Amino acid sequence: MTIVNNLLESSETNFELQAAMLVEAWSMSMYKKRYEDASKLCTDFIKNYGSAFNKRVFEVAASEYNKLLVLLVLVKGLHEYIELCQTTKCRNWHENNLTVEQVWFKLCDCEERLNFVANYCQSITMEKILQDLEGLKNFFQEAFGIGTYLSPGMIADKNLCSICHKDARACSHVEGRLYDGRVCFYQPVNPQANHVAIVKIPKDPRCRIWSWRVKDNDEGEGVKFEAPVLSSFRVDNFLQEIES
Amino acid sequence: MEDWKELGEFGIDTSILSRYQILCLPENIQNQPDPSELIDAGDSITLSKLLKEEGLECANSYDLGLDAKVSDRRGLELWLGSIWVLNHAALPLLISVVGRLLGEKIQKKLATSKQIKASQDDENLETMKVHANLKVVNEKINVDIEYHGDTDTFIKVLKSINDDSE
Repeated sequence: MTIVNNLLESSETNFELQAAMLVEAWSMSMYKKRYEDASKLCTDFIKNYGSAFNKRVFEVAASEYNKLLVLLVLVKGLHEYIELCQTTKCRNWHENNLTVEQVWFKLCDCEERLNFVANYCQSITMEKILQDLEGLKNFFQEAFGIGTYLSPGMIADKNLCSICHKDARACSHVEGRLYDGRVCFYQPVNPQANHVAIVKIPKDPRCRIWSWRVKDNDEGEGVKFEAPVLSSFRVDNFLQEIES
Repeated sequence: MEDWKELGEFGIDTSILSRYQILCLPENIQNQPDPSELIDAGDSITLSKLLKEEGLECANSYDLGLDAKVSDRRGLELWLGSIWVLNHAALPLLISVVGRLLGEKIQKKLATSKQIKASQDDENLETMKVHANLKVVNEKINVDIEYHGDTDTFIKVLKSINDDSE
């Protein structure tokens, strides 16, 4: 695993080269179905570079941290893809409702991260992975239909910008853009849900109503069901979980 | 101007309005609610930032001192709030920025529909909706439109207003 060791030299700041080497080593392990090796490659990379990223240890231009962030999100997406491969290699995985829900969530996370990365770089490996994810979604449609989803509306006192922490209306940072290795998002202050709609095309497909979660309402007419109304997903949220 | 008086009732200093070409205002401002009930549409925040990036003199509710809340509908429609165009010269850039915002939303909508494998024939997919109150207030043209409809027609409406005001 020389490549892995080279990758873990956290003083290395040629991030494009790092990405190319990691993807090559990862592809080789996946081709040989050595999922555990591929997984270790990802987890070690995220642990080491993620920690260095959080501490801002590299002496590079702030914009270089954008590249490293994209690379870290890519590796997290690759890791989620491995987990999907491992779970779905069992023939009967779709017969367990909880597993189905977990795979759906993981599929949504993985695809959202890789689509984020695709805005900044593209590769044949990523195209193949996205095709595989497409195949898994086809399976979901055949087995469970296109689904129904919850979509809430919220009113907040204001939104705070994640980059400058000011009222989002008072700064120039645009939601979704990268600033020195950070993704701009708006944090609502004192959010209150004012309605929840049932829709076919939601903003967040994680908020899916699964048929096995719908039950007769024993307190009267109609049905009752359990489904997520909101998810806290962000492409870079895994970085907060890394111990410094 | 009569319209500016309306804004004055919300505590806005109307003497500064002539500095601006476009105002991105709370979506319910024309219903004349209590000032504490003003609500900015989520996409209006991004719209005002992109307009400023393009070099337009644009003010949002914060710039005007309004204490508006913010709505987030988490749907894939575009909620632009109340857009007041004070100078018709700003219209071409407004059309360009709204076009970009719509393009991004449509891409997201297509990605999500792909993600959930929704039928491409689905009516919801074909008609991405825009919600906006558009007001053009200047000496050449006076327009007041409450728009809830498809994207193509919205852009056509903006373009026709631009043509009429030239």
